[in-house]
Amino acid sequence: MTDMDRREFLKLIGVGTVGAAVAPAAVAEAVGKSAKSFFTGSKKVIILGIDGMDPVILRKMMDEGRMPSFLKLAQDGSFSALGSSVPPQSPVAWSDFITGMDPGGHGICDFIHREPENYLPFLSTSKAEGAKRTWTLGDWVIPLSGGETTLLRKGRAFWQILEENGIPTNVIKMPANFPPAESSGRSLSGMGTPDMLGSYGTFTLYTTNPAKYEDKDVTGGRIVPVDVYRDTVTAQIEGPKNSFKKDEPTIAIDFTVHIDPENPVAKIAVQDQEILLNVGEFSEWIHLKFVAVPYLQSVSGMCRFYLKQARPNFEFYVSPINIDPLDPALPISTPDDYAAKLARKIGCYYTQGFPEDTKAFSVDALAVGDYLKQTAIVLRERLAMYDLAVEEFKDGLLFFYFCSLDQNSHMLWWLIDPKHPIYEKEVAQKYEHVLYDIYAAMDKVLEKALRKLDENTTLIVMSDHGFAPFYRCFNLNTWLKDNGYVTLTNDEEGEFYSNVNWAKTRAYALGLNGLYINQRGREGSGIVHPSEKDALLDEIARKLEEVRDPSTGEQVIFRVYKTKDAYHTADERLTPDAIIGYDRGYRASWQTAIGSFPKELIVNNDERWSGDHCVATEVVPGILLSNKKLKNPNPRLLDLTPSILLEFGIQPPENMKGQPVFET
Amino acid sequence: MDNQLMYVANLVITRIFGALLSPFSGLSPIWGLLAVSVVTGIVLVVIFKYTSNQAAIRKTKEKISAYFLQIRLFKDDLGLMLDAQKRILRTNLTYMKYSVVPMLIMLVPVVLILIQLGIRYENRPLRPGESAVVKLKFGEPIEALPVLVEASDGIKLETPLLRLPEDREIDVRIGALSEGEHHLVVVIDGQRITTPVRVSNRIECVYPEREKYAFAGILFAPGQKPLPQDSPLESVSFILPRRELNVFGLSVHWLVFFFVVSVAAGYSLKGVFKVQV
Repeated sequence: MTDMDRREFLKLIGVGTVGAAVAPAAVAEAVGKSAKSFFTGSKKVIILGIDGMDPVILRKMMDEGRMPSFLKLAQDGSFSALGSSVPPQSPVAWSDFITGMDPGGHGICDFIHREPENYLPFLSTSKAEGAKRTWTLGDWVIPLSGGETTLLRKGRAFWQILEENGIPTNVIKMPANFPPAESSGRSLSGMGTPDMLGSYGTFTLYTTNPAKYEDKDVTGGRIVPVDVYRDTVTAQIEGPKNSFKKDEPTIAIDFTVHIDPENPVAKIAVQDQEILLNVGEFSEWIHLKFVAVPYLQSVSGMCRFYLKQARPNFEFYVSPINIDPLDPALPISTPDDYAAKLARKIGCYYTQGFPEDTKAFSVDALAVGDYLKQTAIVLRERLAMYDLAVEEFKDGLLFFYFCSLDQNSHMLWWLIDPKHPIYEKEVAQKYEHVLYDIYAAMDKVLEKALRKLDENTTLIVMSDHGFAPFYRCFNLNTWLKDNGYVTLTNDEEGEFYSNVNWAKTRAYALGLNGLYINQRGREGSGIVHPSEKDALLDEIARKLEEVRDPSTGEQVIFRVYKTKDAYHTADERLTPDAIIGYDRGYRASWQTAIGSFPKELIVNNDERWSGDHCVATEVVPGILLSNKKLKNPNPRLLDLTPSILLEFGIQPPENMKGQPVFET
Repeated sequence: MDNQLMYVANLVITRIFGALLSPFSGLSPIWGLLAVSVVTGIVLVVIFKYTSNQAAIRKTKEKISAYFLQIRLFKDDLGLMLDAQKRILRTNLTYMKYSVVPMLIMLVPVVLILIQLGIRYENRPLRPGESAVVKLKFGEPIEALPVLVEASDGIKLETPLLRLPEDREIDVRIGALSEGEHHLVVVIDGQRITTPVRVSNRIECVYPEREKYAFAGILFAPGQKPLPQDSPLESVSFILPRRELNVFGLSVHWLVFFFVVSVAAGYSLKGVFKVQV
């Protein structure tokens, strides 16, 4: 994929994320009123959601004595692998957990979905719409109605059911919960929360050496060439689009960097702030005001600066512009002022859903050491938030989410796995401890939770999935083309199926695990009759499971799940027809995700994004630990949701398909 | 007034204010400000009483009331109404004339109080763990100027010196380690200039800028020793955090709070002191 392809793609999917609103509960079932009388106010449930914690690594570290709190909990309570969602992608898995339904019920099947009419992708979790009515006056556009952002996840969140039964809730950084579901408790949105540009995080690197990045696939960031003149650099920070102006130009803020003639230090002057930074140092949060209409309308954002290098080349990193929790431009918490109150207590914090800047690290805009500093800041902020949440927790539910293990298992796997194509022994020796250190940090987190336990408290530690190496990229669309299921109009890679001849195409892949049949009456140019779909799916599934990597002879695809069998119900227009479960070491290529057709079928993964979990569910189970004994030997994510309700004496609604996991 | 004398007088006033406000220094800033504002309101009302022509003010206000009554009674007579409005305007000017002298007299204590409040409530001292940029401005080119900066225990230099030759400025960032009064020492060609740096969680005097002897500097930074006249160093300034004043969940500037509360206190207590305002 070219640089432009990915940028355009990000732009396209990013547009859909800004703004907020909450879909009303769709499938609310009657909840037994007896629960209210059962709940005396003394019952407490603490859930630690540790995204991406892998049972194999955890068990190994427990055996080595490096996770004493986990070991204690496992010995006194229970420890099990936890079956993930199909597919085991984070937004899907957390939506399973939130609603107690599978993707057929909550409607989140992948990071991205497609419009069947035109095959174009969009972000699966939220959708933004601008003002429907506007009035144009010269260059100015005056909105006559409000914009709207909608959470696309269907079904009621389990904490909403708890609140209906008078149980206080604290749900901090829950993924797939932007904008936050309507709640009378405290909640803070997590993964899925955009930055101020509407993307999942767009960094900027100002450099006097842009050539260094010319051959890199810069996704989710901008490389801005600058010149140093008399030890001074002037440039602009690009903020959100100005919807009050025709053509929606970007709102930009000027800034100046003064570099010392000799010392490795610089001063950044932006708006009315002056910041001194050493080379190799991140700034505190810098608050920015983006003025849309002078004296009338502005929006707040915040970013961190990093002086990567002053001389001989100047390299200056600006983090994605986060929603400022002190003055949120979009709803990120319930109640609305909770985000600000929290920031006043612990300081400002990353609000974007994916705080680790994996994109900057991928293209070396942040080198290994730089990225590790950034991810340490994220963890430090999250731990401060956690300490306060635990300290303030008195009653009801506390859910707290940690993202650091997930993001760093993606980005640092190559440092712990000598078999990975980009493994470097020297670098690995220096940094291989980092991922394990984050596991150890989670042990400290658990230690604090254990101190909070009493006889009325149930503690659940869970992850949505585990992890696997990502050695080789499988171009699923290329395979479909090579096997005659797709016909192209030319030999180019294309993007967003730009060169697909839909009149001669029977199946296509989108997202990291989705396979769709080009079905007549559903797809805009569908050709496969619905009655032929099952047979076609069986044929493709059989062939895919037979694919072997020519360079290793290994099986590439562990299992193909037909969604009509894997899900209890399914919206045929929305859900893929099959989910591709890759085997350990393999995953769909990035190009597959956006409808491209590279020449080669399987290629090495040469990127720092070196670990993954978007494979077969059986390959990457998550973890479940509790101070209660398990009665179910093979618990799944879906089982946890009704189990939590039952802990409070609430009968789960019928649309929750899981089985209780705890002994009564 | 001689600069030195003014410095001493300011120092004395600052110490007195410090002593008066010391019971509030460990509390939320709202309490000290509230106390000062209420007392100020009362003092100003009393000053007004003894420096104004109370009888004339009373008579003027009665006249204005009479003219308003005239408007209400003769609202169908345009001529009389316009006449009453003209007289109200003229009497108002007379009323303002009676207020000018006491206002000017009151201005002196008000300015003194504002300055004292300003050095306590505009900014706050650094707290342990916080950082601040320090800007040194020079009166001569800095390219060849041998400048060193040292920090006493309790603070540390977090960056090397950053030179801005075009602005004749050298910047450095300091970090606060522990509470107390610490010192930043600027060494210029052997000359050592020591500037105090307060690190505290309490409400205390802070001076964001230190300059050579100058009227404005002495007036607005009472109690602060000016920089030596013979030094190439023209000023030392600190970018300090603003002091937050939270009133019922709203962030309010201390000056707004002071004026609203002192005016409200003065008006509500004028009856007690039998003052015509």
